[in-house]
Amino acid sequence: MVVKDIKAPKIQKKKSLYRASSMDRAGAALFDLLIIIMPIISVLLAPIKQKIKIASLVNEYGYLGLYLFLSVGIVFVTLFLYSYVSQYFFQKTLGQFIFGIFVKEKGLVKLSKKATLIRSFIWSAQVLLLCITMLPIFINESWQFLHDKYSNTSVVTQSQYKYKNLWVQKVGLCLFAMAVGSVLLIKMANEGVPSQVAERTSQCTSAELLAKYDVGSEKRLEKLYSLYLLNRISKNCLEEEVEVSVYNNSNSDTVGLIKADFFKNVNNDISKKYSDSICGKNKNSYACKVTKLKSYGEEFNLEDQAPLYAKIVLAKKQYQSGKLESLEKTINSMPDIDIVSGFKAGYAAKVAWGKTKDKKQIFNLVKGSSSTDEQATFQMWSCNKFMQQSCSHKNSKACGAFREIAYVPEDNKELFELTKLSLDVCEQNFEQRYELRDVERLRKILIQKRRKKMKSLLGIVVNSKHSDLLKQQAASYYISFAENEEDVAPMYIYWMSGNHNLVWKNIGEEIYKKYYSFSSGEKLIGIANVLNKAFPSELSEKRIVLSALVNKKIKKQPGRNIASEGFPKSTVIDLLKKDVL
Amino acid sequence: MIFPYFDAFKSLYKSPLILLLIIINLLYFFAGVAHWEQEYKKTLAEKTLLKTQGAIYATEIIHDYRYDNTVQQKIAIKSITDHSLHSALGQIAFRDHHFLTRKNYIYNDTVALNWWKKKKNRFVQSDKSFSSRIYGYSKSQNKIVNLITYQFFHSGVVHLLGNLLILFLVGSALESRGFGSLSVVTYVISGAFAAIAYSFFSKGMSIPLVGASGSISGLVGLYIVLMWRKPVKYFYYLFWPHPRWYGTLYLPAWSLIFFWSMGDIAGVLAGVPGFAGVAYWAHIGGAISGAAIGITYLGYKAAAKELNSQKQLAFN
Repeated sequence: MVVKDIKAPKIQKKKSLYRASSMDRAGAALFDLLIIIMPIISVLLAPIKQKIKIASLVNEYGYLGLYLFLSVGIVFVTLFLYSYVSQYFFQKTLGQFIFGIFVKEKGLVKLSKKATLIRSFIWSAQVLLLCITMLPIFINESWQFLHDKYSNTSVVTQSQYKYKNLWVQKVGLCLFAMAVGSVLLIKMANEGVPSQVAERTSQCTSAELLAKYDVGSEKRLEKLYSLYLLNRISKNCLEEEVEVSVYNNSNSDTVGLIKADFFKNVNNDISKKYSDSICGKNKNSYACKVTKLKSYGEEFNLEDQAPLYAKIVLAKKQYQSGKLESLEKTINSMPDIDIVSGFKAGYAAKVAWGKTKDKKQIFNLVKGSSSTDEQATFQMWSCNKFMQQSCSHKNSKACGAFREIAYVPEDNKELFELTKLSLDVCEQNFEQRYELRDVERLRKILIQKRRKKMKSLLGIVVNSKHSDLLKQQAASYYISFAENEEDVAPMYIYWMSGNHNLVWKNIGEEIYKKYYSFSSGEKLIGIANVLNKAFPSELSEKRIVLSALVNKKIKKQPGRNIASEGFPKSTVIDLLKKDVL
Repeated sequence: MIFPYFDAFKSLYKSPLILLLIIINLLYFFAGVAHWEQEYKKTLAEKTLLKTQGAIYATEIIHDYRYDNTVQQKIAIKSITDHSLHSALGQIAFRDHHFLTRKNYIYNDTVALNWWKKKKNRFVQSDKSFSSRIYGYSKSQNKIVNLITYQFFHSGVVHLLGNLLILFLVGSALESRGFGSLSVVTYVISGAFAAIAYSFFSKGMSIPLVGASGSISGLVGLYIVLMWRKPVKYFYYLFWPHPRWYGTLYLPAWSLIFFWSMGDIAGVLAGVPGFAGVAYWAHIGGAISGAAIGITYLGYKAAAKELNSQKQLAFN
């Protein structure tokens, strides 16, 4: 029997531990913060950063406090979790690992949960307080920071890194803290202090101070204007400055445009004065026209613009006399005038439009013009004024242009209808965004699947909050998507329950047509009766058909679709004669 | 600051293919110097132009349903009462290809419109001759050739040098391990995928994509997959000239996922649609495609090895 040698177990020597140097600790903390935590935080805070960017772009800072609060919360939680997890499980963070240091609780081999919790919490709070509590005055004699002290832990190393003089570390830390503090102070001073100074200084004094620079130049005006926009100087104060400098500045086109816009926002009277002074020098200058237009706006009389506008008046008279040919002549006779050519073409086309039946000719004339200005004006004007009307003839060229403006594909009838609706809304009240939102709502619904789409449309119709215009549009779409009687039923009930006034008449007729295509006699008669009672005076071809249907009490006729027949009178009479209806 | 150092600076003679890529990048750069965007910078400095353009753009995007619920439209609506936003909108408008190339505009101040159109047309004309338009990849310039050429063209010296430095570091590290030709293939393919990703996620942006960043991200993706657990050398510096506050450390290659992609992910999440300056999606797209090429390569290699061992067994 062989007895194996029993080896004596190795006695592990207890390694001596040394206090970690403050530079190593600071280095480890910086490594953790800058290299590990900062990228994580940048990802976590990215959505908030996006919101703040958007808020700053639209100058809406309502939620800024909330964003700030959330950001601080996220940073704190990230710091805490990182510190807690790494130190509880590994006794060291990644930074501490790199610097060869680790955390130890007094009297224990590893860190207890409680100690890690306290340590991580205080450390995270300290970092959020810009490490102010890590300044030398908060460090005790055993070189413990606040988070070491309250958690009864210390950061140690197995290999001592000796410094010759301890005070060097303290001075080093002080210098570092001072450097960080200086950077922060300079940053704060750059952003915050001037505004405080500006508040303290009297408003006109600051304007005067500023006016000393770039005297008589546009730069000064821009500066003053930005101060005014920032509410740093009052309107009165700015007006004084503007009045002094207004007549002294140059007369270039660009300057004219800046000033016109600038003065109009400050004081319209000054703006007019300026405009008059510019036009006094040269009536035909670009600056004159620009300032006139900008300052006088609605009051601006085109005929004041002397020779150019005289020609327009002449053109106006020609068009009023019904001579369409002169439109082309006028446009071609004034190719050198760029600024008002758009007005001319637009105006000429507008007058001619009402005078002639051949509207295509006008359209082609203006569309074929080499100047894009004329086209633009024409389309701009037509969009607002007559394109809706022209789209009652859907195949007209004018209507084509209308659709082009509205970016609507020709084959998409639903979107086309929506565009019409949006332009109606646009004309009713341009700035009433809620109505345009309705249009958007409808557009979104129309791209849904049929069943969901119909449900959403019905929701709009029965919701009393929506405008009548939107409800009708939704109801119309709803009916067009209906595939059987059950589909139409809710709209039928809604309509029968009282919504059969003049505005809703068309919807009633659409429901009727739809039911007819499904051949439901009883409901047809019900609708016909209502229509007859509601609009007794109206003698249309449709009414003849309806009356015929009521009298004959048609029940089922598979395959017939009255909608496709278009209700021509002769056909109806023929049908009545043949006793089909 | 931490920087992947890979195998440090090796002689370029040992990495001929990467050297070739660097030379092509330099050649493209010098070819494009003559047509740098001076006109663009000059145009951007014109405040009145920006203000007027902003006002016209605001009217357009309020009318166009395709902009509904976008940040641009929010600014445009706000600008109805706050005219100071027009300058910002004017700058954004330069990125909107659709807006700049429209024939007609809905704007009721005809004087301003005409004045702006002349300026804009001049800009659009000169824009066509910019190098970034010729070599770059964008919505309007989306030919297959541009998918390749954009990878070699850079918009400035700093852009070029930064990219070439990383290309050299990661490329030579791969080539010295025998993945030279695979690196070149990855450079081109992942660059193309990067452009497609950029184009897909930044709808309507007229700014052309230029630079080798997407392709380099592809190389980094490839490196991560091929070297998964092998150590990568990093250089770190903590902004203080203390002897222990800078140095090198080794971490496994997969750690590059963290250091390389966090910035891009944050950029994507924090970016406002339509306003992004850096093509973060191109970086992410490039890195993913590079990693995919690496996985395919390893899979192919494993399959070939298995086939060989089966053949060996059959032979035995």
